Amino acid sequence: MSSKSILVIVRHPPHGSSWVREGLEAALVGAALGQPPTILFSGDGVLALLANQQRGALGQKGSAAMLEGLSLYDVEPLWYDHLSLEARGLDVSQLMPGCQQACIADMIARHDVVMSF
Amino acid sequence: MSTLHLINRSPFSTNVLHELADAVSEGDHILLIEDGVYAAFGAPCWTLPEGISLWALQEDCASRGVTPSSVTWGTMDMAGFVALTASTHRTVSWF
Amino acid sequence: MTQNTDTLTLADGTEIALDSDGHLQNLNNWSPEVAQQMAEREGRVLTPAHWEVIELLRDFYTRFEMAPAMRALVKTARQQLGEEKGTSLYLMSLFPESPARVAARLAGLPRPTNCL
Repeated sequence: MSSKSILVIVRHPPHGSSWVREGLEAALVGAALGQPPTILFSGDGVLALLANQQRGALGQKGSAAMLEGLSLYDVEPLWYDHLSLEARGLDVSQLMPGCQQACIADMIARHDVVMSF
Repeated sequence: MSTLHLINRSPFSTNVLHELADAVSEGDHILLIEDGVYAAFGAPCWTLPEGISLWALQEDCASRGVTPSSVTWGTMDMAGFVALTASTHRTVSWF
Repeated sequence: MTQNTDTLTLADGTEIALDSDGHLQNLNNWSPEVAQQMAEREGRVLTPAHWEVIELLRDFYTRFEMAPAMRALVKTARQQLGEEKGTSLYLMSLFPESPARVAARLAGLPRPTNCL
């Protein structure tokens, strides 16, 4: 079976919904099957990459700790769409380690399958 | 190697269309479905690169009383939607 | 609420609730004695080599808030315990069947994320 390249795009912010965790879990499934996908944070998704996040007010898990563990599943680096970052007045120094800049249009064009979260 | 982009939300309640503008490449198709068809009243209210085909799903336009502005938007029925899914390389949902 | 399907009884009489997969219902209830009791019920003998992996898993969970699936367990064992122990063969010899799943249970973690 020829394997298809998979792109997981995370477009929602962390904490307010479980979209980010869902996206990460999809990426982990790919990794567990020996096909680590590319993961890209775009739109409000780049907010999941902010450094210094903590648990929710009621102790709910966020996604930041999980993100730091993705490299152990060979899901790396954490790509971010640079225009989305700029549009939010942020720069890479405010993100967690392991993030790299990408352009979403190129990323989509380079993969066979795109999953959006 | 083109991409089919699906929009199912009203352009007036979301910023998704602006995100989409950075994510399309020449030769891609954008298809408005469900509440996305409200974007088809006029010219796109956001800036797109050249060479993108714009479609609105006929069934969803009909149910919402939307007549797409024919200058910009083509209409496509369900069968066309299915055919387009098959003829493009990948599909991205912008929900 | 999770159905209370099983309990462990500790030496001081404390009852610890387990879920239907034998994992702790409340992860805060873990102690080395809990791991010991679970192992005994399953007919396992815990050696220092086992404890090393159990500690590794607890550390992984504290850092990443998930239990590692096999691939990540092997990789983290290789990083923390060295090349010799960072192999699935070694981990299989300690925890036959499914190292990621069995060791997570003994370490008081939930089921590994996407352990297929």
